[in-house]
Formats: sequence, structure tokens, C-alpha cells
Amino acid sequence: MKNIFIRFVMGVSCLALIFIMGCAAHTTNINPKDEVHYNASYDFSDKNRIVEGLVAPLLAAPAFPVEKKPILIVYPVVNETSEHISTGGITDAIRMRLIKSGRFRFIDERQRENIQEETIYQDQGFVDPAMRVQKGRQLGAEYILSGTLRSIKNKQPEQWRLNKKERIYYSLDLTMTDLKSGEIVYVDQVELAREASKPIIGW
Amino acid sequence: MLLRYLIFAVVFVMSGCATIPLQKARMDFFSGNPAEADKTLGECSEMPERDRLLCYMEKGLILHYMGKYKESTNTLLKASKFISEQDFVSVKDQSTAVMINDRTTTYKGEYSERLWIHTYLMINFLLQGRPDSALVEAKQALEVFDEYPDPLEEDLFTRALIALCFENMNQPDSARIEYEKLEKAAGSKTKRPEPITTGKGEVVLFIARGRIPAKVASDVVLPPSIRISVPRYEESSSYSTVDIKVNDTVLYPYIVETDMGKVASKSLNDRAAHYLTRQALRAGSKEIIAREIGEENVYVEILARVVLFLLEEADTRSWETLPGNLTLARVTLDAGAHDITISSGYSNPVRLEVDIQAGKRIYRSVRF
Repeated sequence: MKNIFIRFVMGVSCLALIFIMGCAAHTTNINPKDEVHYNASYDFSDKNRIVEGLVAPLLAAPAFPVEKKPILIVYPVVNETSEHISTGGITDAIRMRLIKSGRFRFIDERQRENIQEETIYQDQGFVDPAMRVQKGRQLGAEYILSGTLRSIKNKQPEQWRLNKKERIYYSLDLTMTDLKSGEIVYVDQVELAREASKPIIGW
Repeated sequence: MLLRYLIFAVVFVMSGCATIPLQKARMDFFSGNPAEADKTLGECSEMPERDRLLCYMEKGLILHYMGKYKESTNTLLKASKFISEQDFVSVKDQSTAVMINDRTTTYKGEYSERLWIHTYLMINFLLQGRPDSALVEAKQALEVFDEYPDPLEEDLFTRALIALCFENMNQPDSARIEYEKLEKAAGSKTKRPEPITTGKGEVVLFIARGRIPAKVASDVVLPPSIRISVPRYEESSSYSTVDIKVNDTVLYPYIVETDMGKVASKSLNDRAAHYLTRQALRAGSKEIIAREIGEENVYVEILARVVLFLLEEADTRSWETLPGNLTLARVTLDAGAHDITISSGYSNPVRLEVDIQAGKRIYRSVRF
């Protein structure tokens, strides 16, 4: 009886040791371009796919010839999904890719208040008059670049099963609107769909 | 034999209470000291996992009524995340629940409480001027409604709030669907809020009154020593109508309200089959243990029966700082400054000064 008890305690201790070692803190670098998904929700891999899927066709669009270099203003992508997604990351990445292509010029809408504040400061007499920013010299946007991120989520209906499955479909619609005429001159869409499952029973 | 005593000791220790900070925080909050309540709860990460959700929910609500909407949002988002992480059947919880009682399991919230996390998040986001994030929460609230339609049907406040979130983001069709569901749940054709006309604005009031009924235990004792203890909500209090005066003139705006106790009680009853099954399993296993011990020593059996009897306790944990009634009022006003007086029953009226801008909607949260 005593032997059995000692073996039992040793067995439990070994299992506990393996468990603790498995739970040890572990950090590693991963390539941001690799597709890594832990569940069906939106993640950074999706952002990369969305940006890739939208920028390449836009650069090849005949509506914007290479020599024209149109001036754009980006409005934030509207999040119409059921997740708290920072859509600012998508707009920033699209803008960065387009600027790097040299095909478009951009107005920095987010810095408008700061620019105004700085201009007012310069006009207060502290700055050399020759170096002051002159009013009325800013570029005017020709096009508005805007987008909407949407999602449709489906969960597996209640039934006897070992896993819960979930499907999520994401779409991002990108729109370019001519500021003078209000005409939509370019539209594109990128879609992602994913299915993930998680066990119903856990520790 | 030694192993059995060891199990007993572990069982006894595990059933110990970890809810002292929660009780203190609730007492502080209701005695008008929310800052102390917030301090008592701390970051909630030190709270045992089984009560952590309660900590997030209580703290989130306390911060909301302190006017700290951003901090409240962060805390309630943690509550929401915790629930989605715990969305599985835990072997550990089920085994301890069958051996000891349901209080040893990780609290995952009544269906109504899961919904009200999103309700308060919607309110917080609207108060912070973030209608897009409020809509995200509205969609998550709709998922909870879809999952548990019957027990949550009478939560008209949350339904009207979801519709409002759709209106804010210029999605009138989705708002209309929610108003239709609301009318169906109310059982009558109710009037819908009027659109904001030229030169006017709107103030949306989130009015909380009273305190949600407490969850209490109902005990039944069967021979020889079987104790069945199940949770139930106490009866809801009735609330008088809310009176709203603007610049000393009584107004009759669009009003929708939810009896929180009624919805919570329906949610608890909806999962009765789950906890009654577990209760039956537990009663059976405790009887087997007591009899096995009795085969070796009758005095130890008596002691074991006493301990097992005392360990049988209903899981009466709940989100206790919630109000007993939530009312949503939408008051359309001319642009300009206004004095609003909200009164309910014998409570002291609440006065608000608002500055309405044409075509805009502002929000205020008050609690009696």
C-alpha cells in the first residue's frame, strides 16, 4: 500500500514537472509577412493581405496615369465589423505603399490642426518674417480615398460535437471619389474568409 | 484512508471564500464611496480566476458611475475578453463542482450579464464620442441576443440602444429591424424616436435606478443528509415613472425601460437544467462517499456528512452593482442651452445643464 502511494506521488510530481516546463515563458521573433492565425478573428496577417490586395490593382489602374501624380486625401476606413479593429493601420499602410510608389501625392489630414497651430504661432512675431509659412499655399486634394471594412460571422448551430466552428468573412471596399465632380472614379474590393474551430472541452 | 482525509482537507480549503474584496467594494459603492470601491478591487488580476469576471464587471460599472468612461471601457473590454476565453466546458470546474459546489467553478456570467457588459460598453463609447466603436459593441450584443433569445427578449433598453447605434452610423434599415424586434418584445406598437429636424438636437439620457435584486439560495433537505441548494433572484422592485422637465416644462419624450431583475431571473431559469443536473450528480456522489466512509467508521461518517452538508451551497454570485431598472430617454430640443431635471419617485431630482447643437446628439448617464 505504501509503495503504491509513493509511486502515485512520484508519478504526479513527474507530470507536474512536465506541465510546468511546458508552461515556461518563451519568446521568439516571427516574420510579419508570415500568415499566422490563432483564431478566426482579424489579425496582422489579414492587414497585410488586404493592403497587398488593394494597392497593386490601384497602381495599375488606367484612371491614374503615371505622369499625373494626383493629390489624395485619405479618410479613415469605417469599421462596420463586430470586432474592435484599428482600421487606421490599414489606411496608413495603403498610404505608405502609394507614397513609396511615387505615383500619388497625399495631404496630411491628421496634421491640419497642428499645422494651423504652428502657423498661428509663426504669425505672432517670434519667427523671422522671411521664414514664416505663408497662408494659402497648401495643396488641395483632387481625390478622396475612403473605405469600409465589413464582416459576416457564422457560428455552427448548437448540436452534439467536440469542436465549435466559426466562419468569418471580411471585405474591404476601397473607393476613390473625384472632389470636383463627386464622381466615384475607382472602386475595388478585397475579400478574406476563414474557418476556425476550438474545442468545447478544456482543462 | 489517509487519502480520503486528504481529499476532505483539499475540498474544505478550496471551498474557502475569495469574495471579501468584492463584498467590501460593493458596500463602499452603495454607501457612496465609489473611489474606495475602485481601490479595493485593484486591477482584478490578483483575484482568483473563478471570481475575476465579477471583479471586472463590478469595477467597470463603478468606474462608469464615477464618470471615468475610458477606464470603465478598458475594464469591461477585459470582462468581454474573459468570457470569450472561457467559452468551453472546463474539466477542472466540472469535477470540483460535482465534488464540492458550483461556487468553486469559474464564474462566466448569467446570459443577461454577458449582454449588459456590451450594453455598458455601448453607453461608454457613446459618452466618449466614439459611435463607430459603440456599433461594434451593438453587433456583439446582437450575437448574445441571437444566442439566448428567450431569456433576453424583455431587455428593451439594450434593444433601443442597439437601434440608436445603427442610427448614429447612418444605417436606418438595421435600426428599423431593431425597432421591429423591440415592438414585438414589448407586445404593442410603440412609438419610434423622431428624427432630428432642422435647428434641433437631441440629448439621450441613460437613467439607472435602484439596485438589481440579489441572487439568494433556496434550500431543500432530504434524508439522510442530502441538501439541495439552488440559486434564485429575489422579487424585482417596481419603479415609478421617470419625469423629465426641460426648463421647468414637463416633456414626454421617447422612453424605453428594462426591469433588470426580471431579465436576470429569466436568464438564470433558462440554465436551470444545467445546474440541477449537476446538483443531482453531486448529491449522489456525496452520498456514496459518506456511505463508503461509514463502512470503516461510523463516527467519521457522521463528521463527513456534516462537512458535505455544509459544503453544499448554491452559487449566488452575481453582478451586484447593476441597477434595478435602466431607462433610455431621447429628448429632442432646440439648439442652445437647457436645464434638464430628471425625477423618479421620492429620490432627489437630478439636474443637468446641456448645450444642444443643431443636428447633433449628446449623451448623459445618471443614476438614482
